[in-house]
Amino acid sequence: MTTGVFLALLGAALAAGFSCAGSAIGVGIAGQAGAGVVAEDPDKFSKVLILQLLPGTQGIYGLVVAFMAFVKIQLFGDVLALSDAAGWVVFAGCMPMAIAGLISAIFQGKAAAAGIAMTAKRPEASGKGIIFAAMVETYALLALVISILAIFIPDLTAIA
Amino acid sequence: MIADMKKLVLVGYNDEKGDMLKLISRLKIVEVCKTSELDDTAVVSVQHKIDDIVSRLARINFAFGFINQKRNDVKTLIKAKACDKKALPKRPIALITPSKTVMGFDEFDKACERYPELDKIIKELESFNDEILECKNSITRLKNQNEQLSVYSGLDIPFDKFKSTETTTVKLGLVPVVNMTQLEEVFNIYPLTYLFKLHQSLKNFAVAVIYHNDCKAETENKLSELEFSESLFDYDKTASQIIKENDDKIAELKKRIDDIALSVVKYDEYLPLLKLLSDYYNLELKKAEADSGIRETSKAYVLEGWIPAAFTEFFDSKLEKSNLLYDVSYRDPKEDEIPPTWCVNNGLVSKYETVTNMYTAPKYKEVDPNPFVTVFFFIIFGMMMSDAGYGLIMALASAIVLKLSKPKDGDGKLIFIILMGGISTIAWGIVFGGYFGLTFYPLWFAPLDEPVSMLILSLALGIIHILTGMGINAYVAFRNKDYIEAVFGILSWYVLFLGIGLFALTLLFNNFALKISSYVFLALGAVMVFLGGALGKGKSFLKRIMGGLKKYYDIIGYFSDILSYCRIFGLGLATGAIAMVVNTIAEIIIGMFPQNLAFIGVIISIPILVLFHLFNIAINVLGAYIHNCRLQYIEFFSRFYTGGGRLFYPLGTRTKYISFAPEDTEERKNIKVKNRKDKNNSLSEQNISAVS
Repeated sequence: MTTGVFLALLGAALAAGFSCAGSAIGVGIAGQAGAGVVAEDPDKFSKVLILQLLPGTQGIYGLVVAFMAFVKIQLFGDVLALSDAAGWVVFAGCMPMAIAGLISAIFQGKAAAAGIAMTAKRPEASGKGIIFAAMVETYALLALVISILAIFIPDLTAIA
Repeated sequence: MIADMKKLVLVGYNDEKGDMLKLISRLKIVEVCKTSELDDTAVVSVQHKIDDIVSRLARINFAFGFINQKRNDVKTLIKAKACDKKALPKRPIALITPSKTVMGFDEFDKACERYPELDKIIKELESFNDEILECKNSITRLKNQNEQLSVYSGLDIPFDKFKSTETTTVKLGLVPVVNMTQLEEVFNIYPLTYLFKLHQSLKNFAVAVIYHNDCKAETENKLSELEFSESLFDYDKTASQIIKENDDKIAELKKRIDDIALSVVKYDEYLPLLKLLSDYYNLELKKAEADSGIRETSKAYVLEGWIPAAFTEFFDSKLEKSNLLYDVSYRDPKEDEIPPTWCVNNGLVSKYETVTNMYTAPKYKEVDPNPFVTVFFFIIFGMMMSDAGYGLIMALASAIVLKLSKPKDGDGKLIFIILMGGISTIAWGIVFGGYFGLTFYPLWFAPLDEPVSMLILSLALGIIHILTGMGINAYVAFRNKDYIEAVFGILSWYVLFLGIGLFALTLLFNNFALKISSYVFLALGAVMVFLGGALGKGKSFLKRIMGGLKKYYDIIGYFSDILSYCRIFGLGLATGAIAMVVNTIAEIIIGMFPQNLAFIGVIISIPILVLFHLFNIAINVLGAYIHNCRLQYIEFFSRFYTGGGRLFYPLGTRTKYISFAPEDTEERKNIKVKNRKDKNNSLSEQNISAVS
């Protein structure tokens, strides 16, 4: 194991860790709002649950990015002897997902909570609430795209 | 397409108004609206009727809610092993049993005769509810009493034994704990007094005081000074006895509440009746609401409504067959009238109307976006899932649900969309070679091996999607004879994009002709876009320049919209990557066992594989659906679609539990719905199946 490998793993850890932490906060915020609504009307459970789950995807995206980094450095086979610079490259590739995953999940949780409040008043509008919350996720998706590309494209063995 | 609508004006005798509304609700082809102002007519209030129906509906809803609530209570009891599982009547599972009962109109209309039966049931439920409330009140009262008694629980003498004699006074009561030492001192000082310390609670000390009547005055003074409060209990039992009795009573009451819950869940057998009457009174309410807009004279009424132009003859023939006296006429909608939108599409496209309607229904005078939404929603859904194995599971699962639940009256559209999504996913999965996260001879390329190709494909699809939207907009502009907008405002971008595309090709192939043509198109496009902003009536020279230059700013909008399509790439890769994670975990588990024991690893990993793959499907179907919708709403619709229309809901539709047995399907099938007539639009016709 070289320092490069350590840096790459650190990046992967941050991408997964931050995104999952963000999702935990977001799902938690939405869950608190949801519990109040379901207490009033248990029939709204399924609608509320979908809204609550929305901020959970960032955690999955973080997992995907971390896994991509693992595959790239061949963690499951003979680990590549990465140079320091190559390790930093993977680390940098993980960062968009780490940052955007954390922050977007929290704010998506807030948007989802508002959507849940809307569902309480107008159950037929829950689809619109979902779309509002999904708007926030766009930016997590953009970060995912950039992270995947930034991890996949560079030829790590060529970086001294 | 959006059906051509006519305004219907129907005149008849007041005596037959109810029968006419009944006929209309059976035909399910007329949306009754408020009759416009007319001399010598007035709106007759039917508020009392509406109130009556609403109160009946409220009672029915109470019954639904009460039965469901008690059902949950019984579920809790079963979980706590307090009663047998069989106490809960089985209910059909929602997705795999038909949700609607098929019924003829005559049978449905007889439903009101069963109201007394229902009334009896609801009264029973209401008395159960009252009894539960009573029990709960008693429990609260007993608990309060227990709390007050608990301070005396250390006392093993019945309360009524604390009796004063001729010469001494005996009192039982409470003293605040903080005053206790002072009280003890007082009783130490005075002779002929005695203090029993009984029990200490958090705040108070229960004490019995005995004193000779000679020192009554000063002792009582001191007692009140030290906030002694005398107990008012005079039971012939000790506190702990009463508490125990109360606890028994509480247990009994709780048992009674549970018993009531157990008998209430048995009312499940009346659910069909509740559902029938719920639909019946909801329809009655719709009729009464329609009635509230009808204008009347002392003898006759004037009813107005919307009817699809194609159905006027059908409606005429049905009126003739009835024994009602009437006069009917149809006219085109006036300028200030907004007819409801009725999208008429074939079986496939009509399912995708839910996607559009969740955003906003098309306006009456707008292009029906549903056929386009259908095509792109179908293609994009599969790309976002991109795994043939997942697609197969989606398609099979939703096909089974559709087969078993037999949706009626246009229900189950969402499941149909997922079925179509499954088919699309299978197709794209084969193209990308994705099968449950394993890559297997891709027809084209594997996204995880060539992410850049996948990104380009996603963006290319985005460009096609957006250009289609602009194309529709150009078509509408042509139709409205707004040629400047069509050519310079919209088609100019096609020229510019073609130039950009050709220019991109020159980077790959160094071809002179290609280069020249790319420059020609770029320049032509740029000039046309400029003209699109600059042309138009009544603009000053400076405004023309500014308007033209401002158009270039739109480029940013186009690019950000196109880049938004990289979510297809993100979601598609995420599905594959998560599937790969699951497979890798299983591989690691199997690898942990030595070669000869590998089968144990296989056995352990099978449930893990099934569970996580199903989870991956669920989360990605949700994601694909939502983000697919977003691409339609934001990127596609913003090019041409405004929406804000009101959907056509004829009287008699939108029942929740009952589906009417079709009576004149054949007749309806032969009716050709005409497209809404526009000044510059030739009539297009389409065969449609029965209206339901």
